[in-house]
Amino acid sequence: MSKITETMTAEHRQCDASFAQAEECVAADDWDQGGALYTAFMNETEHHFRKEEEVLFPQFEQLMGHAMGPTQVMKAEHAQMRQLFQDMQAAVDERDKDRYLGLSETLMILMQQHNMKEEQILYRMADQALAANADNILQMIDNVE
Amino acid sequence: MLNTANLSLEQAPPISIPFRFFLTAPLFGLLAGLLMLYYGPDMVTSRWSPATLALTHALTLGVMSMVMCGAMMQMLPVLAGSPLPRVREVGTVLHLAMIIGTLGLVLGFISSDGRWFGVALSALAVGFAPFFVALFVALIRVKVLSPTILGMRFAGTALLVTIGLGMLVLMARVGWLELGNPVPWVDTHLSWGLVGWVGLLLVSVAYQVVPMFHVTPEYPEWLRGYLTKGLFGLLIVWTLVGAVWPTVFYQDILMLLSLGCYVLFALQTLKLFQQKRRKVKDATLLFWRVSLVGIVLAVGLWAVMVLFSDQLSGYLTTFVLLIGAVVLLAAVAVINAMLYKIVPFLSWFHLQHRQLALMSFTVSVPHMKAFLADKHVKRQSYLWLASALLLLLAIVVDGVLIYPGALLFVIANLYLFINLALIYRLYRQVSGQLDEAAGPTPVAG
Repeated sequence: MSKITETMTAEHRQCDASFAQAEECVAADDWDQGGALYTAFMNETEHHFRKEEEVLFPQFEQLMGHAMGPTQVMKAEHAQMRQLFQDMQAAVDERDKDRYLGLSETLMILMQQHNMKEEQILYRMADQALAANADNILQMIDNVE
Repeated sequence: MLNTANLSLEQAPPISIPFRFFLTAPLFGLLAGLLMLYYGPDMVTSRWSPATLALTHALTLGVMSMVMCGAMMQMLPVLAGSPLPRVREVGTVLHLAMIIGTLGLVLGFISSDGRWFGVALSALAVGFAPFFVALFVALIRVKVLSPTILGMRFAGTALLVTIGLGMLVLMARVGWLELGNPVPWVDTHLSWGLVGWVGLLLVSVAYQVVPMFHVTPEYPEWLRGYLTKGLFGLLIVWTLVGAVWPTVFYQDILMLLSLGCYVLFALQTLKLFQQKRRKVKDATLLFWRVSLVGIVLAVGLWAVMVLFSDQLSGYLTTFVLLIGAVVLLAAVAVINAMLYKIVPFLSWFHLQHRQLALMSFTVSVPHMKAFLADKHVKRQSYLWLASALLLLLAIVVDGVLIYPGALLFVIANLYLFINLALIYRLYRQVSGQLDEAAGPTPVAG
């Protein structure tokens, strides 16, 4: 019943961990490692977004009969996070620590409240509604490049 | 069948609704400081002195409830997809009513003129009646019940009880009805206010914001599942025992159990902060830690007072005032910390959301720390902390210390107000730039 919630929540935690490592390095002025960790974090998060946008959300929308409502809001927040990724990459390139830390604080709160909405509402609804097909969907999620 | 009719995750109220509550609160903090400056050591002689009652209500209604009601309007749609119906009208009326109501109470207490209480009573009734209807409609509509929403239902109910009892006591005071001895009524009002409303909302919101703002592990499942239920249940039993079978001993045991729940919560939260995965320094953590330690301290003092009341008979007033002050300051500290996260984040969030909708990337949206630099948070928190310490010493050591404490309290609240007002000003500036970049709004027809 809770397979989708468990899998996707674990990915959130993994992204949080990478985020914190990158931020710690930047705060300590270690830009070489900080930059590399930031790139790794961004790639991981992008990968997670694609799993949602290419598989989970469309499945959910099909059931809903429309693409409005929760998934639309989640996609809008992905767009907000992607905008922050670009700005943070610029801060890494310019080695602008204050800017990076201001952006990372902002991203962190956006990301956490976004994750909560997914974990507490959207994934749970997906688990309930898509239970019969959950294994298949998880397989498709796993296949996203 | 899936029902998403009430699950739009993005029905947050216009930013001006929560912000008017958040920006008003420090002004009542300022008023509280001025009251302490004016009345000086008289303020710390008895919890029943008119000046102390005025101060208490400036803090509980004007600062704490002001922020907490504004935050609930903001959080319900975001956390639970369930906005308050007609939030713009309800919020506007409630905000005005809370200002008039708090001022009416303060003026009523210090002047002993019943007409001010009449003003407060009318304003609070007019403001809170529609708010409670809207709040409970929103809370009942929630489809996926989380521990936070359950806690908010309890907290909202506790606020209703608190306001209801407060109004009864006030009506008795101005002679509109007869209650007999007001002390048990006041104590019940106070317990539902602090142990119920303030404490329950703080705990429920902490379940969300502590992991969210500080990237800590979640609170343990058992704690989230049972703590607010236990507290709410204990509070009801405590009230019933007091009403039907007024025995100090049993009431004290029940209260000790409730307060023990808060110690558990405070220790668990401190432990989570130790385990936070995000290692960068956070200027608001100081407020949290001080406040949580304060809660443990206050409960400890209360237990000592109750257990050794005979030996301590000469010091009971000091104990009562000290416990009250620690609890009020702890709650104000956590609220101060949360404002520093919520106000910059909401400003950024609304602006960037509009920027993406308008696709106008020529305007740059400031990040959170461009809205408010850490150094201001730090300075304000040190000032606040120094004032809190002096105020507590004024109770324990020498009443005259209330003067420097109150002065710093005034400055700290003014500083908080300026910090928040500057965030709002920058928000308005960038919002104006976005309007310009979007070009003139097409005229209909």
